[in-house]
Amino acid sequence: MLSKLLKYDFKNLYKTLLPIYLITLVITILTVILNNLSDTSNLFSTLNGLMILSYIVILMVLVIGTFFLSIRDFYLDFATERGYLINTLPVKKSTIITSKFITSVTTMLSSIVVMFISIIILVIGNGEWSSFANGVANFFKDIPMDGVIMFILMAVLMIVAYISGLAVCYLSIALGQLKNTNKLGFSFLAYIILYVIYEMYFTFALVFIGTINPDFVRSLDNEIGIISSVNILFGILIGLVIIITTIITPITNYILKNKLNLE
Amino acid sequence: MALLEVSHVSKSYGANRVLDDVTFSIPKGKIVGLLGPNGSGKTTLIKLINDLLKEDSGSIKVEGLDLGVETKKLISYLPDKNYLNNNMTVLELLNYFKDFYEDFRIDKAKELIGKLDLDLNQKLKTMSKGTKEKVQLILVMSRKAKLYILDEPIGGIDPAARDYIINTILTNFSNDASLLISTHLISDLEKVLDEVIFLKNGKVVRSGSTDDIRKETNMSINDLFREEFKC
Repeated sequence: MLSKLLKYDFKNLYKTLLPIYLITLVITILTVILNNLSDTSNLFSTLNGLMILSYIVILMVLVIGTFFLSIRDFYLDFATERGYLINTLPVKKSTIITSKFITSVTTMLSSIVVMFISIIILVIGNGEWSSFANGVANFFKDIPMDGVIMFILMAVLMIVAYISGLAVCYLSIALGQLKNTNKLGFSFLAYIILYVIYEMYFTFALVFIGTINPDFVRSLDNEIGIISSVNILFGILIGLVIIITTIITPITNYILKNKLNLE
Repeated sequence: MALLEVSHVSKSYGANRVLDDVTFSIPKGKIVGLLGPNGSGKTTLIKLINDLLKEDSGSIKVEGLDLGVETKKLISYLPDKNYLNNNMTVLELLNYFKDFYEDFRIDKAKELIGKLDLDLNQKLKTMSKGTKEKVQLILVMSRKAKLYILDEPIGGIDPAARDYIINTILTNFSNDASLLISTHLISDLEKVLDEVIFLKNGKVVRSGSTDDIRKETNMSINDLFREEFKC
């Protein structure tokens, strides 16, 4: 059933995202063209300024919009009339939630890929590819093994943090739908409270680690071996994010399974 | 064993008690009218049976099973409002139902859609409210379910469309299945109902076979409804 849910969830999200991807690429190409013409007249120069502004806006829409669409999709399926369909399907709630996580993470990754493609087009179009490529190559050329691990851990941390952020939003919606009126408002309120708890959890956990292992905190200030200490910190953060996410998600599942309130 | 067993179910929204100790059962092969005025608790009861709400107390069983994935395979539910994704075409909706319900008869659904002269590639959002309701009904009645639950399928619909809907319901469910249909438009449905449940202020005030009730009261169900629920 998960594959069937994924099929429809992806279709639903990409119906909106694909046109955004297309608009992003069109704006990228227009930005390149106007940038190359900007020296020829004042009009092109002004248009180029506006196009650069549009380009920045569309990149923000791309990332924020993808996140917003995922959250909106979850809200519609569990707190509005659209939920009558998905919640009467012979499918476990945990399967529905899993499908939402997978589609949300995948669409965010695809939006980031589109963003990178757009940046590369911009760089190539402006004739700066060789200096850009050299810059990147130089950056990675002398990077030590610890540095490579750091980038990998950073990428993993960003992905698990995104999943965890989604989990907090999903739990907020699950709590908000328990109310009979103003479900959206109560979802926001639940999010604010959960966010504070979430931040407190990290603060207390890191303070605790610092208390039991002060040498580790000092090593973060020490230039020698700082990368390996940062890697340990990233590892700890990844662990903390995974722990809180595995606590939050079963609560969401429990509420939507046993306390669904499509009143 | 009864197909549907609702036992001492109560439900409140805050201080407002919407259902109060509701108990009834529906055997196999019956058409049962869930009758009551607006606000009597019909829709809440139907949502409880479909696991869209949770009862405060009591229990609901379908074929002896607690509500869950297995009971959802047995129930085909038509809500009282549009619940489908408006951006989907008719064909996408048919495939959606085929993907998730093993008992969905896509050929039957296509045949019924064809009779309405509807384009399979037409999006739901381009249709009138009445046509959307017919598409929803076709989807629901094209399943070979054990229990059909229809919430106000003829409410707010013109008489000609009402005939179409009643005819579609009656010609598309099998003899061993049961049908629970909620309405306050009794005259259109009285002749097909085997049993009725009268719901008033969240309580079952009368239930039983339509023939027995007519004999007992010397009134039609429609007249009895008017009498029971007069303002």
